[in-house]
Amino acid sequence: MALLTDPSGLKGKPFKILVKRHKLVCFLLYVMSIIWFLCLASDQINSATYLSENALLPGLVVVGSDLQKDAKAILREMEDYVLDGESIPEDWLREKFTLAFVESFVHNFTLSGSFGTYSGKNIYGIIRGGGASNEAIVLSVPYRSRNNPAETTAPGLAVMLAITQYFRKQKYWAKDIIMLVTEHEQVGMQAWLEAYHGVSCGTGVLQSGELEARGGAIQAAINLELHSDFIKYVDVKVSGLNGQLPNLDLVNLVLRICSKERVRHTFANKEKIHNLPSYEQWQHSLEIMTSMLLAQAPGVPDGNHGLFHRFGIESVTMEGHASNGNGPYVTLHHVGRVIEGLFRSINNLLERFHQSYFFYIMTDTDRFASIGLYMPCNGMLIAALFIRAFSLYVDMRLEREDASQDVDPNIAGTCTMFLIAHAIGFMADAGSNIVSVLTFANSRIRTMAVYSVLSAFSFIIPLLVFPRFKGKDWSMLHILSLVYLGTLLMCVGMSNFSFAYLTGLVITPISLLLYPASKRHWKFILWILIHPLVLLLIVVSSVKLYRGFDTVSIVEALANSLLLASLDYQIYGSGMLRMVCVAYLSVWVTFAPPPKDRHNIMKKKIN
Amino acid sequence: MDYFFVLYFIFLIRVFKTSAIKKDEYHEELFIKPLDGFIYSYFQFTTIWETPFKNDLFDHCHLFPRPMGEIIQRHNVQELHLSLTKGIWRYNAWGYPVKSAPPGAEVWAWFKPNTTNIDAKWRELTGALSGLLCASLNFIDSQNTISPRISLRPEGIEAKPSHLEPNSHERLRYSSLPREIVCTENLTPWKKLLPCNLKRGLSTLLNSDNIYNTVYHSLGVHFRPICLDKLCSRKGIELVQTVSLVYDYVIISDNDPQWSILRLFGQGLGKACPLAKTANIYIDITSNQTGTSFTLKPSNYKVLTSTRGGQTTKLAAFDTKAMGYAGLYNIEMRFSKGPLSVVRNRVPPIVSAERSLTGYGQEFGGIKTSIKNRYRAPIKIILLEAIPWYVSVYLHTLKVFSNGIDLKPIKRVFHPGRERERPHQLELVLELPPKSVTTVSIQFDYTFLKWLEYPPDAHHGFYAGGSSITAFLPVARNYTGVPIQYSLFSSSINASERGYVVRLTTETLIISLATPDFSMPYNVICLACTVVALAFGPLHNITTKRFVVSSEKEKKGLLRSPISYLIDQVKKLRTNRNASEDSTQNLSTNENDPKESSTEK
Repeated sequence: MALLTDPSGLKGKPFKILVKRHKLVCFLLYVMSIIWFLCLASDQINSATYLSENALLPGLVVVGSDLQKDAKAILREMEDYVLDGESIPEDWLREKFTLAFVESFVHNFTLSGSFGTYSGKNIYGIIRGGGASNEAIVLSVPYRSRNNPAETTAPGLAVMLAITQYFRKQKYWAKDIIMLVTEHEQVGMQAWLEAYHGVSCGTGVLQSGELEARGGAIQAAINLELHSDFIKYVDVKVSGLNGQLPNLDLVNLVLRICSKERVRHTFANKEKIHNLPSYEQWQHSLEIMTSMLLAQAPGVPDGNHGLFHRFGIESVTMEGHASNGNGPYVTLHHVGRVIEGLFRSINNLLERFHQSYFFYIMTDTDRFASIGLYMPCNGMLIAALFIRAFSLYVDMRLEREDASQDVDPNIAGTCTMFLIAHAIGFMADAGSNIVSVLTFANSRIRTMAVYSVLSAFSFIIPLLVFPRFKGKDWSMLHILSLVYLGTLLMCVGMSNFSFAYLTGLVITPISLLLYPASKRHWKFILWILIHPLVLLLIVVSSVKLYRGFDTVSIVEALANSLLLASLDYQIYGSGMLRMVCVAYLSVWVTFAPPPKDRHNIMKKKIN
Repeated sequence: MDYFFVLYFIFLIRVFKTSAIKKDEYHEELFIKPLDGFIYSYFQFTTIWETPFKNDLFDHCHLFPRPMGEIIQRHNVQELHLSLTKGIWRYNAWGYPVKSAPPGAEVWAWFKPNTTNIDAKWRELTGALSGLLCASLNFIDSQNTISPRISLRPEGIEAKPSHLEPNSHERLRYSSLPREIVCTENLTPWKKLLPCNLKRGLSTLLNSDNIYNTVYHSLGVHFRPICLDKLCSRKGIELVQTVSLVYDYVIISDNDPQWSILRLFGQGLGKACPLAKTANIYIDITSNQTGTSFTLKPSNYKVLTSTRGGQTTKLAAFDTKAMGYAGLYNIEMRFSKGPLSVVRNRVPPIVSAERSLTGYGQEFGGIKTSIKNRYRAPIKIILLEAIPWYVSVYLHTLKVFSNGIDLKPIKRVFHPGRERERPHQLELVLELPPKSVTTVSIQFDYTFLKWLEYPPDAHHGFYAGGSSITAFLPVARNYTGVPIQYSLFSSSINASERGYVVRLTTETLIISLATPDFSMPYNVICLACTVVALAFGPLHNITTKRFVVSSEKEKKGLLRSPISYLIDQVKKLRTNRNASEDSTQNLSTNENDPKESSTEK
């Protein structure tokens, strides 16, 4: 602390060098950060996964299920007539549960907001274990009818119903097993979870209703999505709401039991390839890492499992991709055995999942980089920001001392600008509420309109109001903004590393360049470039370019993504939109370029 | 001397004679009720002893188990109820049991009037019971003991007609241990309390291989002093030992609903216990008329029709004392038309309850109990919640809603808990509106525990015992309880009353408090922090404190002050002497400069 508070400390030689060469140091830190990240993909750096929780004992039990016949029969029945209906086949499902001597229940929920009113039903059956119903495990399948454009999940449902019959006859269950069939994808899952825990996570648009029966605290959940009865491989998906991840033990458990039952399994749709040359292995790992980062960054769950994480329930999605007809395939029998093995292992658990990592990046199906390894990437970006801020501050003070002006820095003006920036941020945060109040046109146009207006505000207000402040205030504001951005990246990086790192990679160099030393117009363009909405536009259009075949226009795609983000906030209580509005947008406003005269003063100062 | 021996023998004969004519009797009963997909069997072993309940009663026992008697005598117990249960009774599927018990262990007792130091007696009693039944009842202490004011009432001589009358709660202690695991180690000492042990009679069926194959099993010991007639002119004591078992057809017989004693208990019935006055088996055959018909074998049973509270049940009664088989025999139920169809006509019970935790995270949460009344008239209930101290509840968040409308409790008793001392105790008297679902919810904050207070396997979570709901049912649908003025299960036949009291217990909850990661890195961090703190303390002192030379006079302390006082006095004397030697020198400056004197030291 003394280093920071003692004025004489800043005049030491190392500090002088640091201040003088800080641009080089910042550049090196940025480059180092990228290199470090690339190194994570190397097998020399990342480590092999292992099971921390001894009680799981994966693959130690003899699995006895043989579901092929039952599951096939149920699947045939479903394909014959069940899937034709638009809504979830309540009676058929309940009959199946009753035939397996499992009590089943219906859960009704309604989603109503400015976008309209929808209602749905979830069906669930509870296999009661021998305990006192204070712990449970969930197996869930999203129901999709034949008309649903998404890939079918009927084979998964067939496996679930078949394994229900098998599980019911076993007497070793210490926990209740909940078999859950949800409707309307994630909305149904969210409604069920809210009803189970008696809470409401969003803004109240989702009326989650009541549940008739429960099974105690849920320890883990597996979401099963099989697209065919001939499966090429099972992909394990982990990313959850707000970028939360399940405990690594569960992910390992799934992957390990898959490999024990000889089910081809992948992470990020990439299978482990043994004995690759080291360069190719590095490339392979880097691809897996990057796709995990891209999946986690938006903070949107990539399957129904992602909604469990908030409730402290570890869960993953097992997605079985259809075989293309040639090569080896996995049958429902094998998937059934994997499920059985998984549930037997979780049934062994005495404590909740807590042993292994909650923060990790998978680099292969059996390798990962832990939080201690990947955090330095983010740390280096933040360090660059802090060093830049520090150097500017020292410069400013030295210059002030030389000019023998007023020594006490008057930061009232800076604070006012900061407050205005945050006011804009909070205004943008209210955007989704404004959308829900308005009634014109459709919700997509409304969202687009509201957020465009808000962005325009965030753009015009600093340009109109900020020129009233003095040059000194501007310099201080810039220094504070750098520190603020660094702190923000640090905080976000703690919960959602991917988001912090990917945004940091773009925003950090630009914000380092933004100090008005020269080329005022270029800086202005750079500033516009890192506006959250512009960044989103860039991301959306690059996704569109990458995919190529989309028919929607870029503006439409942007509106869609805004609407989805807003709905995520309203229904699931996702924090991404709010974080971007309140934090990222505010910090962006504080980076506003100064007007010409202030610019020249600041430019003079730095030179 | 000889005369003395003669007298002594006469005395002894007298003693034996009185014990021989002791008016005690022992009854064995087994009640089997096929439920929907399950089968409920309830054993009741009753010892009734007609005697005044006085202090030296258990010096000579005949049928009454002496170890039990000694505990009762030593701890001044008036009435005792104890249950050890694995699994949870599912009211919606199974109706009401004869005796309800929550998961884990539960004990409650009234002490005799004028008992002093009841809390200490209670600790001793639970300690003794823990030894008697090999259960961890010794974990009962003030942190999990409450004295309910209205929920429980004495069932023996002190029985009160209404629940709203005072129940002498100052003598009542109640506790439950929801985490207690019940197994064969509890059964073995429990069965030793029976007069015939497991050697003869119905108790031979309690074969631990088979009875732990159930989805619910509960051991019970209930002791109370009773009146033996209506006017209470004859008094006695009663000990009821019970076992409740629920078998799951799917697990024991792949859903074949044909059952037999052999299939359930792994062995046939043998000779009745010779000490038992009666030994009967009652099988509920009511479903024989409504569903698929079946036959019972052997057929030498009496059919009893019991009409109670508008419900008619048919019972097949076997008198095992009069069966007259030489070896082991079986009782089995055979279906004439093959196995039952899967269509289930379940009549849910009138009042049922469900309890759950609300909220997520480890900051705050809530407990919600929803109670269903399926009857067409309002029903009064008493809800008892004992909430552990480590969740601090807020009384202002207590909300009672019935079908969405605010319901005002008739009576509310709340006894706030105290950290590390006693749990929160909440009792509510409610009138459930007809055909309604009433939810009682209360919010709480999770607290942080001291690190030594975490149990082994800390991440498993903490248990909060279930709530208990005492309901006054107008009809006896699904009701099997024994009226409190009687002892035997057979007394419940045709026992119509004005109302039927049933006690429901709900799910236990697992509460996840913020738990440190008790792993190796955690320990390393703790150690490192300690070392840093130890190093930091002196460094902080050195760098931040100003050094001031203190005066000798300001020295304080038990020893220092008198010593410094003495030294001062000596100095004074010396200076006085100096003064007298050299009167020209001014002494006051020297004396009044404490710094100099301290630096000299």
